[in-house]
Amino acid sequence: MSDDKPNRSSSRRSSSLLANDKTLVIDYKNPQLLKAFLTDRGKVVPARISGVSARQQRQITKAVKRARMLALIPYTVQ
Amino acid sequence: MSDISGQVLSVSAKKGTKREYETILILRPSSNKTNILDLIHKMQAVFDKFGARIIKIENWGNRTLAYSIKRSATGIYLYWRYIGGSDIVHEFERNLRITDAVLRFYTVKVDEDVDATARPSEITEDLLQTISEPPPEPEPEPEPVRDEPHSVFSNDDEEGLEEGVP
Repeated sequence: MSDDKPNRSSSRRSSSLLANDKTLVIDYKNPQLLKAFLTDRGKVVPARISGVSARQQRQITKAVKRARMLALIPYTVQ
Repeated sequence: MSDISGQVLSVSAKKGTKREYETILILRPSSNKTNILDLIHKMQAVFDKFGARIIKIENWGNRTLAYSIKRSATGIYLYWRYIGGSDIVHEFERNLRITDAVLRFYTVKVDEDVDATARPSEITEDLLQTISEPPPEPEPEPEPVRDEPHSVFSNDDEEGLEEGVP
Protein backbone atom coordinates (compact mmCIF):
# COMPACT_ATOMS: atom_id res chain seq x y z
CA MET A 1 0.00 0.00 0.00
CA SER A 2 2.66 2.43 1.02
CA ASP A 3 4.73 1.40 -2.00
CA ASP A 4 2.13 2.88 -4.32
CA LYS A 5 2.17 6.31 -2.77
CA PRO A 6 5.53 7.21 -1.41
CA ASN A 7 5.80 10.38 0.63
CA ARG A 8 2.30 11.42 -0.20
CA SER A 9 1.31 12.98 3.10
CA SER A 10 4.51 14.88 3.53
CA SER A 11 4.49 16.28 0.01
CA ARG A 12 0.83 17.25 0.07
CA ARG A 13 0.87 19.09 3.34
CA SER A 14 1.77 22.66 2.73
CA SER A 15 2.57 25.36 5.19
CA SER A 16 -0.54 27.37 5.72
CA LEU A 17 -1.10 30.60 3.92
CA LEU A 18 -2.78 31.80 7.09
CA ALA A 19 0.16 30.94 9.31
CA ASN A 20 2.35 33.40 7.46
CA ASP A 21 0.01 36.33 7.86
CA LYS A 22 -1.55 36.58 11.30
CA THR A 23 -3.67 39.59 10.40
CA LEU A 24 -5.51 37.73 7.64
CA VAL A 25 -9.20 37.35 8.45
CA ILE A 26 -11.21 34.61 6.80
CA ASP A 27 -14.12 36.45 5.26
CA TYR A 28 -16.80 35.27 2.88
CA LYS A 29 -16.48 38.57 1.00
CA ASN A 30 -12.94 37.70 -0.07
CA PRO A 31 -13.26 35.01 -2.76
CA GLN A 32 -9.62 35.33 -3.75
CA LEU A 33 -8.54 34.11 -0.33
CA LEU A 34 -11.11 31.33 -0.22
CA LYS A 35 -10.03 30.00 -3.59
CA ALA A 36 -6.74 29.05 -2.02
CA PHE A 37 -8.65 26.47 0.03
CA LEU A 38 -10.63 24.97 -2.84
CA THR A 39 -9.63 22.27 -5.25
CA ASP A 40 -9.88 22.96 -8.95
CA ARG A 41 -13.23 21.18 -8.84
CA GLY A 42 -14.49 23.64 -6.25
CA LYS A 43 -14.38 21.36 -3.21
CA VAL A 44 -13.05 22.46 0.16
CA VAL A 45 -9.56 21.13 0.81
CA PRO A 46 -9.32 18.98 3.97
CA ALA A 47 -7.42 20.54 6.85
CA ARG A 48 -5.01 17.61 6.96
CA ILE A 49 -3.86 18.61 3.49
CA SER A 50 -3.98 22.39 3.69
CA GLY A 51 -2.45 22.34 7.16
CA VAL A 52 -4.79 24.90 8.71
CA SER A 53 -5.95 24.62 12.31
CA ALA A 54 -9.33 23.13 13.20
CA ARG A 55 -10.62 26.54 14.12
CA GLN A 56 -9.50 28.04 10.82
CA GLN A 57 -11.01 25.13 8.93
CA ARG A 58 -14.38 25.79 10.53
CA GLN A 59 -14.14 29.44 9.57
CA ILE A 60 -13.16 28.50 6.03
CA THR A 61 -16.03 26.08 5.47
CA LYS A 62 -18.52 28.59 6.79
CA ALA A 63 -17.11 31.37 4.62
CA VAL A 64 -17.04 29.12 1.55
CA LYS A 65 -20.69 28.23 1.98
CA ARG A 66 -21.65 31.87 2.31
CA ALA A 67 -19.59 32.90 -0.69
CA ARG A 68 -21.17 30.14 -2.78
CA MET A 69 -24.60 31.45 -1.89
CA LEU A 70 -23.61 34.86 -3.24
CA ALA A 71 -22.15 33.41 -6.45
CA LEU A 72 -18.69 34.67 -5.53
CA ILE A 73 -17.29 31.15 -5.85
CA PRO A 74 -18.91 28.23 -7.66
CA TYR A 75 -20.65 25.26 -6.08
CA THR A 76 -19.16 22.95 -8.68
CA VAL A 77 -16.72 23.26 -11.52
CA GLN A 78 -17.27 20.93 -14.45
CA MET B 1 -44.11 48.90 14.67
CA SER B 2 -45.50 45.55 15.56
CA ASP B 3 -49.02 46.62 14.71
CA ILE B 4 -47.98 47.61 11.20
CA SER B 5 -46.13 44.49 10.17
CA GLY B 6 -47.50 41.90 12.56
CA GLN B 7 -43.92 41.36 13.68
CA VAL B 8 -42.87 40.74 17.25
CA LEU B 9 -40.15 43.10 18.36
CA SER B 10 -36.75 41.52 18.65
CA VAL B 11 -35.26 40.81 22.04
CA SER B 12 -32.50 43.29 21.36
CA ALA B 13 -35.09 45.94 20.59
CA LYS B 14 -36.74 45.27 23.93
CA LYS B 15 -33.43 45.55 25.72
CA GLY B 16 -32.83 48.88 24.05
CA THR B 17 -29.68 47.77 22.26
CA LYS B 18 -29.20 47.22 18.58
CA ARG B 19 -27.41 44.78 16.34
CA GLU B 20 -25.25 45.46 13.36
CA TYR B 21 -26.03 43.62 10.15
CA GLU B 22 -24.66 43.49 6.67
CA THR B 23 -26.62 42.51 3.59
CA ILE B 24 -25.30 41.88 0.13
CA LEU B 25 -27.75 42.27 -2.73
CA ILE B 26 -27.28 41.08 -6.26
CA LEU B 27 -29.26 43.18 -8.72
CA ARG B 28 -30.04 42.51 -12.34
CA PRO B 29 -27.26 43.84 -14.57
CA SER B 30 -29.86 45.83 -16.50
CA SER B 31 -30.56 48.01 -13.42
CA ASN B 32 -29.64 51.60 -14.16
CA LYS B 33 -28.85 54.50 -11.91
CA THR B 34 -32.43 55.59 -11.34
CA ASN B 35 -33.50 52.03 -10.50
CA ILE B 36 -30.81 51.77 -7.84
CA LEU B 37 -31.56 55.22 -6.44
CA ASP B 38 -35.26 54.39 -6.26
CA LEU B 39 -34.50 51.17 -4.44
CA ILE B 40 -32.26 52.92 -1.93
CA HIS B 41 -34.77 55.68 -1.26
CA LYS B 42 -37.57 53.18 -0.85
CA MET B 43 -35.49 51.17 1.61
CA GLN B 44 -34.45 54.27 3.51
CA ALA B 45 -38.12 54.86 4.27
CA VAL B 46 -38.39 51.30 5.56
CA PHE B 47 -35.34 51.75 7.76
CA ASP B 48 -36.68 55.01 9.15
CA LYS B 49 -40.00 53.42 9.97
CA PHE B 50 -38.31 50.71 12.01
CA GLY B 51 -35.90 53.01 13.78
CA ALA B 52 -32.92 51.43 12.05
CA ARG B 53 -30.03 53.23 10.47
CA ILE B 54 -27.99 52.54 7.35
CA ILE B 55 -24.31 52.99 8.08
CA LYS B 56 -23.00 52.54 4.61
CA ILE B 57 -23.78 51.26 1.15
CA GLU B 58 -21.10 50.21 -1.28
CA ASN B 59 -21.44 49.40 -4.94
CA TRP B 60 -19.09 46.64 -6.02
CA GLY B 61 -20.06 47.04 -9.65
CA ASN B 62 -21.28 44.59 -12.22
CA ARG B 63 -19.49 41.33 -11.58
CA THR B 64 -19.48 37.99 -13.28
CA LEU B 65 -21.40 35.46 -11.19
CA ALA B 66 -19.81 32.11 -10.48
CA TYR B 67 -23.00 30.52 -11.79
CA SER B 68 -26.00 32.11 -13.42
CA ILE B 69 -28.87 33.23 -11.18
CA LYS B 70 -32.29 33.56 -12.82
CA ARG B 71 -30.62 33.28 -16.22
CA SER B 72 -28.36 36.20 -15.48
CA ALA B 73 -24.63 35.66 -15.86
CA THR B 74 -23.63 38.93 -14.23
CA GLY B 75 -25.04 40.99 -11.39
CA ILE B 76 -24.56 44.32 -9.66
CA TYR B 77 -23.40 43.81 -6.09
CA LEU B 78 -24.56 46.21 -3.40
CA TYR B 79 -23.15 45.96 0.10
CA TRP B 80 -25.31 47.43 2.89
CA ARG B 81 -24.34 47.82 6.50
CA TYR B 82 -26.91 48.92 9.06
CA ILE B 83 -27.89 48.94 12.72
CA GLY B 84 -31.26 47.81 13.97
CA GLY B 85 -33.22 45.00 15.53
CA SER B 86 -34.06 41.67 13.93
CA ASP B 87 -37.41 43.15 12.88
CA ILE B 88 -35.66 45.39 10.34
CA VAL B 89 -33.97 42.37 8.76
CA HIS B 90 -37.32 40.68 8.35
CA GLU B 91 -38.94 43.75 6.85
CA PHE B 92 -35.94 44.61 4.67
CA GLU B 93 -35.79 41.11 3.24
CA ARG B 94 -39.54 41.07 2.68
CA ASN B 95 -39.18 44.24 0.62
CA LEU B 96 -36.26 42.80 -1.31
CA ARG B 97 -38.24 39.68 -2.11
CA ILE B 98 -40.96 41.69 -3.82
CA THR B 99 -38.47 43.80 -5.76
CA ASP B 100 -38.01 42.44 -9.25
CA ALA B 101 -34.52 43.82 -9.77
CA VAL B 102 -33.08 41.84 -6.85
CA LEU B 103 -31.65 38.52 -7.93
CA ARG B 104 -30.41 37.44 -4.52
CA PHE B 105 -29.64 38.77 -1.05
CA TYR B 106 -27.82 37.49 1.99
CA THR B 107 -27.74 38.96 5.49
CA VAL B 108 -25.10 38.35 8.13
CA LYS B 109 -25.11 39.59 11.71
CA VAL B 110 -21.86 41.42 12.28
CA ASP B 111 -22.13 42.47 15.90
CA GLU B 112 -24.46 42.44 18.88
CA ASP B 113 -25.26 45.04 21.48
CA VAL B 114 -23.84 47.94 19.54
CA ASP B 115 -24.25 51.48 20.71
CA ALA B 116 -26.26 52.97 17.89
CA THR B 117 -25.20 56.52 18.64
CA ALA B 118 -21.52 55.70 18.42
CA ARG B 119 -21.73 54.71 14.78
CA PRO B 120 -22.46 57.66 12.53
CA SER B 121 -24.15 57.12 9.22
CA GLU B 122 -21.99 57.87 6.20
CA ILE B 123 -24.98 58.22 3.93
CA THR B 124 -25.41 61.57 2.23
CA GLU B 125 -27.27 62.46 -0.92
CA ASP B 126 -24.03 63.06 -2.81
CA LEU B 127 -22.77 59.69 -1.76
CA LEU B 128 -25.94 58.03 -2.93
CA GLN B 129 -25.42 59.54 -6.36
CA THR B 130 -21.98 57.98 -6.62
CA ILE B 131 -23.15 54.68 -5.15
CA SER B 132 -25.92 54.27 -7.65
CA GLU B 133 -23.49 54.96 -10.47
CA PRO B 134 -21.71 51.64 -10.74
CA PRO B 135 -17.95 51.72 -11.08
CA PRO B 136 -17.15 51.47 -14.80
CA GLU B 137 -15.20 48.25 -14.79
CA PRO B 138 -14.32 46.54 -11.49
CA GLU B 139 -11.28 44.35 -11.50
CA PRO B 140 -10.90 41.91 -14.36
CA GLU B 141 -12.56 38.72 -13.28
CA PRO B 142 -10.21 35.84 -12.66
CA GLU B 143 -10.07 33.43 -15.54
CA PRO B 144 -11.73 30.02 -15.18
CA VAL B 145 -10.47 28.23 -12.12
CA ARG B 146 -9.29 25.15 -13.98
CA ASP B 147 -6.52 27.02 -15.73
CA GLU B 148 -4.99 28.19 -12.48
CA PRO B 149 -1.91 26.31 -11.47
CA HIS B 150 -3.18 24.57 -8.39
CA SER B 151 0.01 23.44 -6.87
CA VAL B 152 -0.68 21.09 -4.03
CA PHE B 153 -4.39 20.54 -4.16
CA SER B 154 -4.93 18.82 -7.42
CA ASN B 155 -7.09 15.97 -8.55
CA ASP B 156 -9.52 15.70 -5.66
CA ASP B 157 -11.42 12.89 -7.33
CA GLU B 158 -8.55 10.61 -6.71
CA GLU B 159 -8.53 11.77 -3.12
CA GLY B 160 -12.22 11.03 -2.69
CA LEU B 161 -11.84 7.55 -4.13
CA GLU B 162 -9.10 6.83 -1.70
CA GLU B 163 -11.26 7.86 1.22
CA GLY B 164 -14.26 5.86 0.10
CA VAL B 165 -12.43 2.55 -0.10
CA PRO B 166 -12.37 0.85 3.28
